Amino acid sequence: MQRLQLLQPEDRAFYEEACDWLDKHLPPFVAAHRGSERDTDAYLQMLKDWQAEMASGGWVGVDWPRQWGGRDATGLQKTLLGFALSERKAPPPLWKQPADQVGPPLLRYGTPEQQQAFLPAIIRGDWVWCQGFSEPDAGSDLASLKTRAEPCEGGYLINGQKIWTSNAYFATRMWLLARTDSKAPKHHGISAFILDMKSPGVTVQPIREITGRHTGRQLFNQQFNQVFFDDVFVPQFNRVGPENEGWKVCKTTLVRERTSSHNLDFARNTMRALRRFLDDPLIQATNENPEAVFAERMLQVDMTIDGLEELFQQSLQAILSGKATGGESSILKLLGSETRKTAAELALEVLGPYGQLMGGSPEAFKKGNAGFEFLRSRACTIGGGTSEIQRNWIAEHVLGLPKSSDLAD
Amino acid sequence: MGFELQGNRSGYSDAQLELMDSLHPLLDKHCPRSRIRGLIEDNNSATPDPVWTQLAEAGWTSLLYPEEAGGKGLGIAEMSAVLVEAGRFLLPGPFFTSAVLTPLALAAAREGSAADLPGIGGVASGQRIASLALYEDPSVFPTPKIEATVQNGHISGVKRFVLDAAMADVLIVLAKDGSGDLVLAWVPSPAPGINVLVHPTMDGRRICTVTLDRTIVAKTLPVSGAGLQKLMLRAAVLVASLQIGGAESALALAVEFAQTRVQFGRPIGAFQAISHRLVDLYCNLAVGRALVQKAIRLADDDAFPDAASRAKTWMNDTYRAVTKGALQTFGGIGFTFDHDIHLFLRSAYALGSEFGTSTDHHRLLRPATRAA
Repeated sequence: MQRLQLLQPEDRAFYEEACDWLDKHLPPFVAAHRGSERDTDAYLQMLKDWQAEMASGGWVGVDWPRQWGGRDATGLQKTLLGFALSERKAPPPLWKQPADQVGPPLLRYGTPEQQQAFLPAIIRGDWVWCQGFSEPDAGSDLASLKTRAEPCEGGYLINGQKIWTSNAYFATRMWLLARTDSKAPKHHGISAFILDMKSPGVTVQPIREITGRHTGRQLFNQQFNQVFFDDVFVPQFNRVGPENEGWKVCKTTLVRERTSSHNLDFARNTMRALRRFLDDPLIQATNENPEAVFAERMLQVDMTIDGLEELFQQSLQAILSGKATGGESSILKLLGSETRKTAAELALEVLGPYGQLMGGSPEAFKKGNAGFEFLRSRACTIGGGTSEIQRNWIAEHVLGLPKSSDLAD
Repeated sequence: MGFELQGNRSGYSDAQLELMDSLHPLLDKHCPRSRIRGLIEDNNSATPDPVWTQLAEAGWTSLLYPEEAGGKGLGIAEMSAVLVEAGRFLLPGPFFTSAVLTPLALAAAREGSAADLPGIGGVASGQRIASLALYEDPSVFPTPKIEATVQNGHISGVKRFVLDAAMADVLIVLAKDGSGDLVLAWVPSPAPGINVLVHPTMDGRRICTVTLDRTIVAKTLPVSGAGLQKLMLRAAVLVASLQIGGAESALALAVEFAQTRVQFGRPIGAFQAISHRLVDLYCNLAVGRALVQKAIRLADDDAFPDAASRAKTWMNDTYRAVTKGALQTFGGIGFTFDHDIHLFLRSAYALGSEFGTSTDHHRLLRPATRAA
């Protein structure tokens, strides 16, 4: 990482310690697990093994308190660990979602018994987690969710449906938001639960995305499932935080200062995809032909990528020197995702009829990737907050405009 | 200036921010928009606007001039920051031609020292005004076609689109010498043979046609083709800096209006049609700012010409888009002469044709090369 000199000594020490540990432990791990991508079960096992390895070094849940297995790391230090991992192309972190989303609520609102029952298990990786938030009728307007949690003897009965649930196919626990009071204003009738995905009444159905893939059966890709709940029992013990305060509970984070780096991974992946697009020999050939009708559009995409890369570097610099505001990563998410779509559209058009040949065709250009990337990239402006919602966020938090009145309360 | 948008200070060094902050109160006090409105109605004054004297007295005119010529010897990174601030206020001439273009042109000379030019000290200090006469047909960018000729110490020709020539004490004229090589001719003005016509313009800049008929040349400096190219592209990046500032001000006006103008029982910024438009303009401006900053960073690099053309092209398009969107946000009142927003609209279209239209720069960028 080029900007070590921007860091405070303790942050630099943290980063270097992480790098040293990874340089020692990652290569033998990778060697021992070669071939694990051959099937999903082997891949999942590898991810679990990687978590065990990381936990043995104290690198899981680094921002948690020490008594629960963390290092009391700051948000910046957690980000630096992320840099160290991605620089070395370490396996995806199976613990990230529970450590970031379930841990803080438990630490803040959990009883000592709940903390004992769940926190060490998250560090150890006893379970694979998924997040049960979005519903068919509750996407951008998540607070309007309708999945019910009705009190019963010893706990609650869950009825309803979740959608876009990543990892649900493999998950053994779900971090669930469900409605416990239908009469209260929508944000005030929701409760948070830890649900055992193997409970009777839980049905997981992978969604087939427009590319044709059943991504629900994949891990750590853009992947979607539906989850149906039919009188699923959740014990009282598994409700986290007070009843009807789930909205507040699930927003708990440990980070005291704003890291503003939550869109950074997305931005980094987007930059990589865009740079691959520009480096593609066919695209370069189009560039060099001044008669090509696409040259103007190509230039526009190229310049946008150029500017976004510069903004990305500035954003990193701001994060490392503690001056980030959050505006930078929102711009990157909004423009980056739009540009990724534009680039994919351009590539497909440039290929003309050959762009229509998909994977499996012996004459497909680059194994039919252009068509696939075009279809897949439609999700970039939808997932992780739609472009419309991003614009609302920027309007409110960066431009200081009033909260959108298009959003009924 | 009042309301300022987040992000205006992103990506600058501390030194650059200090320059902006230092210049701000002077311009806030001495550069009201009513002056700009006045120039649109009548730009044919023999004397510079009062802000010029303030800038000179505070030492801003000497920034780019070399130390041996009485200047501060600073570079385009510093001047870029100064011009962003100047753009925020629509600073009128002769600052750009006298304090920016002239020292840039002198730096392009192949040999000879600026310090030898008669009266250069007064130009650097702002007591005298210099005006760079580059073009004969500005639609030919970046390699101007030159007919004006220096022979036996006298210059003849017609130069067009010369900024602030009528109030200049010296014209720096791009011409050919007897052998057909390019030179910069240092021509004191007014003088026999010089005729200056000031055109009425859309944005109030004093664009002049200068006719020279065997006028005395005090000194010539040879300039190379490469030096000229560098001058054109550096000037383009510095115009792009002005464009950033102007766009920031225009956008801030529109955002402030969207926060306060109430219709249908709420501020109009609460409607996504308005807020989303402003967000998109804001984001495109952020990209433009980053492209200009990148070009400045690469000023001495082989990748500079490419970066400069990208920055200028992007800001041409974005400044225009921002001012059009801003005016639209104001509704009816944005259509009135007395409202300020059209001043920025005029500026956007003016600067969009100065030192390269988007078409000019696209032509330079194809085949599209990518910065390393």
